[in-house]
Amino acid sequence: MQTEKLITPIAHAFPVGSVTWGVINGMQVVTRFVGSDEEEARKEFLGIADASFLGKFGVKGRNAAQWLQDQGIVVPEQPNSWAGNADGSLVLRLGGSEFLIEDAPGGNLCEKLLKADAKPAGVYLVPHVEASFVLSGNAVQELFAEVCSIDLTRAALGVQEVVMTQFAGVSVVLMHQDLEGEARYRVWCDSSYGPYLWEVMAGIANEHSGGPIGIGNYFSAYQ
Amino acid sequence: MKLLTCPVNGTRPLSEFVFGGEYRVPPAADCSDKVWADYVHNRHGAPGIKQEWWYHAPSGTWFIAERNTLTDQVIRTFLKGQEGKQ
Repeated sequence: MQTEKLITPIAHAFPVGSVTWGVINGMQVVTRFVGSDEEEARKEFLGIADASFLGKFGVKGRNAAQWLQDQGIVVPEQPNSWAGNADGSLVLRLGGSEFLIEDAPGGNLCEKLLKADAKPAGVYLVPHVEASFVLSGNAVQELFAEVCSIDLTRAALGVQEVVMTQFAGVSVVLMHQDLEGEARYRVWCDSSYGPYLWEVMAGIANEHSGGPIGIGNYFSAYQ
Repeated sequence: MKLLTCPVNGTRPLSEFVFGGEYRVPPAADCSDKVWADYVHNRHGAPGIKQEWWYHAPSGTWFIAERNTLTDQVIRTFLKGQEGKQ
């Protein structure tokens, strides 16, 4: 039996009953974990939010970069780097010839790309259904130090760098972004590992007086 | 912590990598049965400088590491076909 709506891949990690559920972009997600004041306080120390509902689009191949440019997409020039489109969507270059595009909050670029004209030779679609997280706060580097072996401070990361590494044994893609006046980290992982990674990171966040918060704390489009 | 350098993603802990076996060049397709059987069944186990396949799991990158299997010292790593660019 198919469910009527998509549900976030992190759903199994969320407590039953004590959180507020909603539907964003056709996906059931938790929109609030605790009261708004407490979420604000958590965000200050170490906030973690579920952004898995944002549309994603993947493409790879020797002509992928050119095809994306033909669609009006800003393509990062260096491998393992990212760029932002004017509408706020993200374009991550994963290695040399593979790209992950994520919609801006409220955007539908990925849907347009999926419906775009037939892809030419050397352009191959890559399905993306990753679990996606937003992290921020004063103690975010302490969290990284607990789950990852490499230096992820802003100075080490560079400005537009994409890092593919492991968090608590799970392969992740990570990038840093200054958005809406604050520093944030974005993390993507295979959706089947989503609940595990959420539990690990949320547990560490709780130890630092932070914790899970609704996505509206990060993207004003969902407040 | 042991470290290995992926030619694309940089130096990372060994736990991010998977060993893929020795890099070996197959004999010509028209080689003798004896040469082919030797390629398929036999491995040269003596320690020394060898080229090995390694896989960086988070990024899906296969590359070749030249490693002294006696001292465990990695001499260099490179993508296949880019040996001369090191």
